[in-house]
Amino acid sequence: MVEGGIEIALAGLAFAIFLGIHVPVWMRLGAYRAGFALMVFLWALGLVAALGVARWLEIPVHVLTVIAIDGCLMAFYMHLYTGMLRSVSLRLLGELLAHDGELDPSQLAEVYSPAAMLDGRLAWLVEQGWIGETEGRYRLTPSGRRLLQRRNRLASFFVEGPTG
Amino acid sequence: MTWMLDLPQIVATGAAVATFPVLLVAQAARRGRPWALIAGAALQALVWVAVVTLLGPRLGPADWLAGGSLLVALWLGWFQVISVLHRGFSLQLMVELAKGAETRDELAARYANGRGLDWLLDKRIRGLEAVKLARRHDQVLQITPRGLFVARIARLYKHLTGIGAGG
Repeated sequence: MVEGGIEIALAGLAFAIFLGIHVPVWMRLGAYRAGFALMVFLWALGLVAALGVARWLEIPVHVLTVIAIDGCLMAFYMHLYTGMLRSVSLRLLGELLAHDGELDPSQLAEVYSPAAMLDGRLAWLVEQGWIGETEGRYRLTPSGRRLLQRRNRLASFFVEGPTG
Repeated sequence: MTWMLDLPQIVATGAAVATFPVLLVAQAARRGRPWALIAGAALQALVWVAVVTLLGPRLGPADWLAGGSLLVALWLGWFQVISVLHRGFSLQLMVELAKGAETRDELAARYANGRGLDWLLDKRIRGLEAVKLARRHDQVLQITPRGLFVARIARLYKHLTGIGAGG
């Protein structure tokens, strides 16, 4: 086999183990509950299992290569995961597909209005514990403030112009 | 011993991590320019190749694969962070709360320095138009053949994973 081939195969196995557990768990718990910590745990589990198989079969493998390739696959997957889950643009395309490829402004406001987007995100932020809501008034929680401080620090270095 | 961990692998992956600041500095220096991210990544890749080539141990294919994969993983992670900083809807709502908005009406009106939520939707539509996934004709938003292809893939993925409508 080409050098590196066994590492690619093992990384693929580790990722398949991750997917085989993560997707059913995700479907059962809901996307927001099957979040980042669970993803990382299952990724590590898949990796340990795949490397365990190599050890059991006594196949010599470059460990760091397997970890790096699997990490790369995981990074692609997380892009896809967050993109599919949260992307407003993909949601718009989905609504267009569901409505014969065309939406006039009134239809768009009906199927995916800015108000509906806002409600969904506010509910999610409350669920994450980053904001609190009392009688229709929202406020940042202490953990929300900490998150925002980190965001602002990064934004001061890397962002220019309007965001959102 | 079936698990191998040798110097060339450590150098290849260590250099991938150690050269990451090249991307950060390049991007910080040219923030606001759309190409800064890609240019920074390309510059980091060049520096990484130079470092691992000059450092000494001769790298085999598995070592190049390890370092290259780690580079790509780091880029993808960083691109995600930058995307959230630039376009994160939820984070922007938190920014507006910190600035004093309290109710959903205030959030909708003050979103993104007073541009409002309609601006957000319009920005996304303009984005879809820019990459030719959709077009506007007499105020009607229409999907393009390319958009149809992407939308079908997204629909299949969402169906297989039970993700719902998303957005």
